[in-house]
Amino acid sequence: MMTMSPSNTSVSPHAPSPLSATGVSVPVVAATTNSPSSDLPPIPATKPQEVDIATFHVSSRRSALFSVGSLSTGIVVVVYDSAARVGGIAHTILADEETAMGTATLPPPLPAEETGDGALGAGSARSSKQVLPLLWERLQAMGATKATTTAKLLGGSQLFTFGGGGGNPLNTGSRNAITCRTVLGQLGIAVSATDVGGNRPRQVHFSLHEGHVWVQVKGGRNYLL
Amino acid sequence: MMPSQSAASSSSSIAQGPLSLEDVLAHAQQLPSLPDVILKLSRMLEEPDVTAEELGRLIQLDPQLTAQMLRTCNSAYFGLNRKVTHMKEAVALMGQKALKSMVYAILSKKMLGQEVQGYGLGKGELWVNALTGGIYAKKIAELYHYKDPETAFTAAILRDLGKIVLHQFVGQRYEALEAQAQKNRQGFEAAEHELLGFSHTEVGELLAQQWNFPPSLSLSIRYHHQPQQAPAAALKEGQQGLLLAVVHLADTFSTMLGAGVGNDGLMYPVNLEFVASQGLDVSPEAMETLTLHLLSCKERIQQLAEQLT
Repeated sequence: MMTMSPSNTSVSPHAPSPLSATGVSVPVVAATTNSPSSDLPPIPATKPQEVDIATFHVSSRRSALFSVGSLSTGIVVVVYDSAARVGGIAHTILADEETAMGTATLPPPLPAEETGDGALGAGSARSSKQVLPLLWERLQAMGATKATTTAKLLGGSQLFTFGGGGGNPLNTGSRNAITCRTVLGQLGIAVSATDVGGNRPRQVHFSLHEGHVWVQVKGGRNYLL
Repeated sequence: MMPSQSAASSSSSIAQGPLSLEDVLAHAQQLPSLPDVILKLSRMLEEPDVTAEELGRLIQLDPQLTAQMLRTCNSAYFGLNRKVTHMKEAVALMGQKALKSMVYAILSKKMLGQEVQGYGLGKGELWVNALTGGIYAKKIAELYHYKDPETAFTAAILRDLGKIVLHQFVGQRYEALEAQAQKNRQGFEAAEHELLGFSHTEVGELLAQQWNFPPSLSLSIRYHHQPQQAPAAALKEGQQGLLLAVVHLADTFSTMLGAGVGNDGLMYPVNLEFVASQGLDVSPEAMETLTLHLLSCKERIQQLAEQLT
């Protein structure tokens, strides 16, 4: 698993209460690019594919643009192969749904579906442990290789939680981020940038054209991750 | 309790100090008025011996409401097996509790569907959050055996009513409010009270009282962020404490799952001690399971939103 160098790791300016307050040792790191919003490349005018909560999408279309309208405690994982120009995005909620109790009465996750042209696929992404291997399998089928693929992690905002005994039962974001890193490490995919934590929702756009990831923090700044 | 000054003049004075009750009421006067039929219905629905015929007759006084109720009654959301064409029949089939939920859902659309600029919420975003919270509360109530899931729905859907008044002041003082909210992790609601003189929960309670909403709804609106602060006597009444715990969790999860979250973001406290004190399992495993249950409500939320649009 790739680790961030100390020089790359700084507390996010919109995260004055970092995850360390909860006793979870996930590094809270800022965007690696701190460009003022006027210097940012424009978000393509293409109609975006909305990435709903607990879903994932993959594509090999250069013009594909994905958007997450409101990312809160969930973790968005963006995976991009800069050589093959294929990418995927998953909006996950839990680290591992198999640790939840009494799920027998719940509907099973939707199977991943092809849209017909083989260039775009989508499916259910409730938890990272279950979805990331599937997403990677899809990208590999589209030509992605470990050597030229990197991942970015975003989200994991959290409320101020009091009570609940040991640990923080609602700190699903940081548990999820740890699992994302573990699973990506097992898959051999390097994590190139992370922006996890804070108390604000984010809006995310991911373009396959250059692999850019734009982040708009509600009530805060805009930047390129 | 009429305002003694205009909303415009009060608005300019707030940037310097806390709001007075008059400021709040002056701005409340500017809200879109609620149709008389809806207000009368909300009161009539509290009467235990009201008949379907009486309710149907009152609803039919408002053609728009009649059409909306029939459409909703015939929608997939209610899943009735036959087409309903008459209001009296619709009321009888839906039942008084479900009808009450629907009346408050329509009311919430009228009040919360607007842009709420001070909290950074575009048109309809606050309502999406309200509706999501309502459906989540109903689901949590069912899972945790609260006796009246429809009341849980109603309480949750109205919980942020106060934001439609307070947002005009929040926008002006956002940076100071945010800094205060982060200080000691006291939260945005406490910061509103401290810097503006009123929080959105206090303003919501005022509005609920002005409109004669039932006391259980006023209490849920007032304490949905800090249920442990509710008066001890109120908590002992029936399942009021459990209702507060359900609405508190519904609010928490609709924010965590990103439904219509504003600039105040996740800057709110969650009190799991209180939730546990009402007999709910707050272990990580139970919370993860609840997350999966609530994710499965997505279709139901979409169905209801479509019916009310």
